[in-house]
Amino acid sequence: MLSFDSFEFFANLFVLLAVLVPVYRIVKNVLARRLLLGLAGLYLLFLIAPRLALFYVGFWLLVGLLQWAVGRSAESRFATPVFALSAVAVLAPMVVWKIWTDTFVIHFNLWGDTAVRGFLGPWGDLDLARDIILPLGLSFSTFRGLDLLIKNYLGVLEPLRADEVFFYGFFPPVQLIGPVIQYTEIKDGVRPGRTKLTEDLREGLLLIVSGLFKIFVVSFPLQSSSDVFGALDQNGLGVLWLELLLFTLYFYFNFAGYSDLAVGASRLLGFEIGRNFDWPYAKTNPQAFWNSWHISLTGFFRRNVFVPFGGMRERSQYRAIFLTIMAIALWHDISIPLVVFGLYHAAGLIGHRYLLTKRPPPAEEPFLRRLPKMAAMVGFFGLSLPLMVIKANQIVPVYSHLVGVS
Amino acid sequence: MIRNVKDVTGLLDRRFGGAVGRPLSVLRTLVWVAVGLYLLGLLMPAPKVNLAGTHVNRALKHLPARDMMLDKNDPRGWKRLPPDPNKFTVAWVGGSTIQTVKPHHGGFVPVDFLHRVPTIDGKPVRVEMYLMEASRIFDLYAAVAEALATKPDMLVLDLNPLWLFNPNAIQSWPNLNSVTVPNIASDPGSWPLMAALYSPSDVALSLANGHLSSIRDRWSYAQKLRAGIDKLTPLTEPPAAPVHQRSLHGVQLIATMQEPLNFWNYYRLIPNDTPLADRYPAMLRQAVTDGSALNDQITGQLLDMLADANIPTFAYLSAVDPTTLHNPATDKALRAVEDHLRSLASDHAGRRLQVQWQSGTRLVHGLQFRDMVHMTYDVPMADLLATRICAHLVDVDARASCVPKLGSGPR
Repeated sequence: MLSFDSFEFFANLFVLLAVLVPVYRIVKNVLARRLLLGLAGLYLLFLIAPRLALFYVGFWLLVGLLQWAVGRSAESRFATPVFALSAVAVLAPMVVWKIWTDTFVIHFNLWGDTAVRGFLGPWGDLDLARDIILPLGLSFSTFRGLDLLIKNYLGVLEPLRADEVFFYGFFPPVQLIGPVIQYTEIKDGVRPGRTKLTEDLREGLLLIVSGLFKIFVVSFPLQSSSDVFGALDQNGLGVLWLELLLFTLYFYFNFAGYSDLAVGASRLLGFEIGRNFDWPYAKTNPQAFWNSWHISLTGFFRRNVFVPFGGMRERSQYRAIFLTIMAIALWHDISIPLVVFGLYHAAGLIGHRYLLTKRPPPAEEPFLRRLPKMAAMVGFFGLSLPLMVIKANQIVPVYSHLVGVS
Repeated sequence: MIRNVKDVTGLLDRRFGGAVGRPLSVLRTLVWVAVGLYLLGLLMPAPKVNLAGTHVNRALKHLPARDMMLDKNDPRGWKRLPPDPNKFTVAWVGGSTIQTVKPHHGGFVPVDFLHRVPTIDGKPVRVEMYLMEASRIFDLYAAVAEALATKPDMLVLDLNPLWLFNPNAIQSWPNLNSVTVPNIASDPGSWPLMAALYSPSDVALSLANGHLSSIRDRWSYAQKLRAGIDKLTPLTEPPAAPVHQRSLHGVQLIATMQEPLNFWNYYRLIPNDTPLADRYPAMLRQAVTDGSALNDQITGQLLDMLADANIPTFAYLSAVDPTTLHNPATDKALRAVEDHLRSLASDHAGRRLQVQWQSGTRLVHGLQFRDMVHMTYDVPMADLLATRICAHLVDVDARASCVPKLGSGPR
């Protein structure tokens, strides 16, 4: 248990889209369209477990109320405290989950089930038959909710109406593994006639095919490469490095594949969501790599950590880089390996930025000249990947095996 | 350079005159995908299912009894065999309670029935077991629907009192959803249950199962693929270390749990310090018999399905260890289950359906048990079932000939 197969979510989404896309295209009323998509997202969560759907109803209800409060108080002297308290409230479930994982997961399931059975009566019993789950998609929902609050606070966005929050909160393709969309990305897409059906269909389907190819053809055969971290003593140096390389490929293709499915599914509905990966393994330096890796998340942190902490100013840029990459690292898990992961990449990014101040960036280079740099960048990133999956007491054994000291 | 999907569509436009340009071309693409999958099934057929190779069928050896269930993870669920008009086929559906653990070998209640009733209506009896380990009420419902679809001459259903009205576990085999859709969807009364327990992909897979062997046999392909990949990897796996559950806690512990019920029991229902011998009685006491559990809806549908079947059907509440009933609370819980089953049976009655609502424990003596519900010695129960089933057959059709030879067969 606890290992939910993300493809199950997308399999249900795609079957649902076969019905939803024609209905959605026929319906021209914007309110009805929003409700239709929101209900579809809620249903997909209900299929995973009714307690998950109910949790998100509560979560987005809270976000809806808080963004209204933040918007209303924007011009008053209470603006900052209201925003700060709201942000803490939205962040709280995710932070509690990351810090007190065991307690959160146990009570998330127990309380969620009790609440569902209270709401649904005898039909609530079916929640007991569904798997015990982690709070799937919570980070992505938290960032989307927080993004809304920040935009309200800054006055970039008016507080949303209930139907708009419902539509944004339960937008079906992004429920499980992102991307971390902004409301502005889907705000206009819901209006009929904005995009051409034929283009939506072909681009959406191509993205889905691309995602399926990445997941099943490329990453599925590489799946067992993550076992390498539990088989250090049984394998030689060559095998360890080979498996680490395969794991590096697996990690990217699996994640990027699912992102393609989400972006492709959105496109079928007429929403143009930005891509989440832009050939990160073809980049030649840490900055370009992070600008093309999990773009929606790094974009969120760039807007909300890097820029406010002075990333665009020469004096404070290194501090901003450090804080941004540490936030990205600790979002994955609040643990020692992820602190090391953050420090490692902060060093890479700061070092690269420092070198840029000493030496201007080279002009566009031919592919063959870029190839060794690309390989070095993949190696640099790949070396940090074990930190995403191992525990603190494994750091020394894993890396000493990788340098041949066992 | 190709940077995004627009570059890809541009390339396809230039090289191949466009891809998915119109809604109709989506249909064309889907048709080609279906043709491809169909050809895959034809050109690379999945290995045949070896029903005789399952551990239950190996134990049955040459007896005229077979277990129809495949591997629990196999989404095909069970194998359907052609009916044999020269045999009297009894479909016997149940969970682990239809097994017995004997001193030197495992046994099965249906096999012991077979020894007592080798012929019915002058035809040799053949038992087709649907032995679903850890089955819950909805799993039994799905298996009964499948068994009835094979058109047996009679159906016998074993109901485990631990799970019958226990709302904490109504389904344990959701991987069979895609294969059970056609049988269950044919009964409109079950549509609300389907809406609750099935997903859109179950329905889509069910439609594909019927026409594309490459989809139906996906588990076999995945097994083959996995074996191939395992051969390719240079990684040497360490020997599997035994999992010491006692040292685990929280998320690590939950990850090792086999089904949601383990979680609900561990954290909510049965205190951790409950001795093993008390755990089953505690589960029996979880039964909700006031009609407020979803189990009632499922059991009602199940009984309706049996009542509407065109064949004699016999459902019985399996026996429990009588020593556990010395605890008044457990005895009371069993009585509540029995009474509730009787009440539901009278609400969903049928001329060809007989429900033995009393646990076998109330009706016979001398049964021996490994734990509360798993027998080690079932001779009195087999005698009882043989007698009652034959009586029911004669009751349904006075011309039927069914004479049990009580006490026969291996003990």
